[in-house]
Amino acid sequence: MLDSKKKNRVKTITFFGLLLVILTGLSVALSGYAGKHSELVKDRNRALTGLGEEPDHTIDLLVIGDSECYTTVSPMDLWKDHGITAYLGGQSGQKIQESYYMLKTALETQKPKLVMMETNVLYRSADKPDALQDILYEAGQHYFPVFRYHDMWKTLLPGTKAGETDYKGYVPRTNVQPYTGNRSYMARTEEAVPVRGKTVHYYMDEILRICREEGIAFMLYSGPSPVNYNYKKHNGLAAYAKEQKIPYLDLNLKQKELGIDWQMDTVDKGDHLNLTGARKVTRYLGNYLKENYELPDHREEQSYREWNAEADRFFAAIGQTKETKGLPATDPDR
Amino acid sequence: MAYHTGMYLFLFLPAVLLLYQAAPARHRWKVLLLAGYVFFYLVSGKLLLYLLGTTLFTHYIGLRLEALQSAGRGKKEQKRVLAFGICVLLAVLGYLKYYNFFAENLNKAVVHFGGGPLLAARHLLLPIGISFYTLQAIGYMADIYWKKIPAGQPLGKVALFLGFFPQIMEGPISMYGQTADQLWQGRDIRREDLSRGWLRIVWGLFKKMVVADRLYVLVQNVFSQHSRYSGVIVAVAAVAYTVQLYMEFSGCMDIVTGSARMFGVTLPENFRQPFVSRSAAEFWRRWHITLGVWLKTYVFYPVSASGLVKRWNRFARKHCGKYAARLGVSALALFPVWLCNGLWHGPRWSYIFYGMYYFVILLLEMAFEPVGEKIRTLLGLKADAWQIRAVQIFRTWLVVFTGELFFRADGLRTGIEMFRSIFRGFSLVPLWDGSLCMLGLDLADYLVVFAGCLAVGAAGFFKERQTDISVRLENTKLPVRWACYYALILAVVLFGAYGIGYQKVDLIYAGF
Repeated sequence: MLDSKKKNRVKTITFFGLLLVILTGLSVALSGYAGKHSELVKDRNRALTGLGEEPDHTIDLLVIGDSECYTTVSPMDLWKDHGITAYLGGQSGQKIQESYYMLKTALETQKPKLVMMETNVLYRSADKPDALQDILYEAGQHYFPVFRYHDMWKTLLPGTKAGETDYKGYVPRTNVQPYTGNRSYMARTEEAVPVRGKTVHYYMDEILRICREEGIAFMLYSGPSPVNYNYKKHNGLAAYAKEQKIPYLDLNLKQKELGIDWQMDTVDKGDHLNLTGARKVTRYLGNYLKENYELPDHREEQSYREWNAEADRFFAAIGQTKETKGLPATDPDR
Repeated sequence: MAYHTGMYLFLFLPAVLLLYQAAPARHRWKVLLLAGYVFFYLVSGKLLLYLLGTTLFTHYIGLRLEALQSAGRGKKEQKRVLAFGICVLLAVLGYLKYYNFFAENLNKAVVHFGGGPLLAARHLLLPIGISFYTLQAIGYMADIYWKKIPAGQPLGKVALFLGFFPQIMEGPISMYGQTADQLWQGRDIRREDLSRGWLRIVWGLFKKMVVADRLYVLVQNVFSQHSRYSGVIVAVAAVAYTVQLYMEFSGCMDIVTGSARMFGVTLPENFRQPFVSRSAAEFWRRWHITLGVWLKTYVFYPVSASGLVKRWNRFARKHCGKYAARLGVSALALFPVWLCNGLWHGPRWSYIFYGMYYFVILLLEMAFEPVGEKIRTLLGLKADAWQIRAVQIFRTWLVVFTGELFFRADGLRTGIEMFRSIFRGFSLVPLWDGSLCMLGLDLADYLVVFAGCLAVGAAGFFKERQTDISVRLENTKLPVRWACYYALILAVVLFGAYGIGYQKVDLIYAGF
């Protein structure tokens, strides 16, 4: 009787052990395939595979956040003007746990000098059961990438379309839908919308802990967006940054310096910036970063010549848009 | 926290299993009851009070009925208590679920006749599973009245019967005699229960995640922009929705039944290969079985045995003959059944139409049965000939697909428009000219759906011949068995419609 019990226990453990081995094997195989064919990876996963494709320890600036992150910074402009190697680890609707795993994934192969986080993600917290569900889901995907890339098999079939071309996580979007709302959306007030939610605080603490332990500088920034920001949020974020002793740059308060024109620089009525808006922000941000952080200029280094080639492709592509409309006029939240 | 989510499958269910097994047998029902209330609270929050209230009230009515019975009081008084109990439960359900529908239609009628709106719309929150646990509660009270349940049922047992967590969201609607004792026993968790339970859960996940959630995209595209489509595309959408609904609901039932099985509880089955039905009546004996059984037991039989129906039967037999009498009796008894069926699904005219649609179809089936028999005899075919079976099954499919088109459409008017649009410029060409790949699914998706349906169909084929594949698998050699288990798990992992590029699909029946 005891023997049969023992036997059953061994069988159960072997069954689940083998299952783990199979899932791990598939994870390795699929992540490898996804890494080699990032053009076939679905949009939200692209930043992860793209990061994995970068040569080790070459990214100095990692930017994380939701669509506000990947529509406000143009890494190729940062490269051209300052020789900063930046990568956008942004995903549409990124949740804080996704930001955390984006950072963890990046740190597997990179050692950035600075991590910038776009703050919109701090206001995206779910209800308790949903948050727990998201945590489980993200953790599962991180440790078993087979769940993330599970439908890569589809790309083996003929007729699979490649996605949009991105430049270190940035997709130039050229369409214009002017913002016609309140120009003074950042009118001063004493009220504040605090950063709330246990999930947000827990993962922010983890992100800050990792950065501290790895000796990585960390800063928060808010991209210009009348749809997503106001002074109440600014107050909440400034208070949070002060409490955590981290720098916070609110670009919504720098519109004059940036030269943002809400008639021309937004892709979707003030929610996100288009190419011209992102380049204006990047110009300002480049100078800010040079003044405040020691980010090396790699432009003359031989090992970074692929960056020059990618910059050429980027500028050729955005040059083309004027004549051929070759660039996607897409929804940034895709 | 739906049944197919990681939170339920990897956190909640294992935690309850552990606590259940760790608790002494006499306290295990408390673990299940607490788990039920936690589950309910996680989904519906404070609306848990409705379930608690229903439980206390149902138990109280049961006690009152027992007291009257033991005191030898007349049937009339018992009937009054039972009617009061049923009315209160239906009033709560009716108010929460149908008030706004009633108010909207009443206002429309009053405005039509020149008056002003009488009732304002209210923001009413519906507790999860109210349509399911209310029916179980009514069944409990009726069973006490009919003395099907022994007297002196403890409150905890009734509470657990109404609040067993796997059943809360989507049923199956069980009778007290089917589950209460099993839940109350608190027997040890056994290896074979665990092993059969998890396999059933994975099978349910396969149906839901691989087939149903994939088809959701196509269905959503066509039904939400129905004016853009016509002809065979609308017909395809109706078929796709029927398959989606079956895979989702029966898949969820597999997860639910598998979960209960892990605790050694056998829940009543809700599906039995409905797509091999030879008539709409048979279809409803195989589809959402527990709702059908409930309506038959607590609506059809009482109405059939009522004085009105008996009088009509006597009158009709005398004046109109057996055939008309049978039809008349059926119509009288079936009408409330199908009205309840339609209304139960929700406060929409399209659901009421759906109920009435089956009412008419069932009566037509009965009315034309002799004609069908004559045609069959003329053709010299046996009742069980494959040609007859094929025609009958195909006819049932047409009835079912049409019914589901109206069921899914956003309103009765939309349903009628969509149905009519099928015949507008009908052509089969869109089936192969690439139009199907413009509906949100690509060729790979269609292949997966096809293979998934084939797998489910094959399992159903064997089950129809009294061969349960899962039981057969248990008797095969270990490497073959494990290979099949791994194949099923990996099919869910690799072909499941989840993650980036797919939408989270809520359980359809949880909304009823």
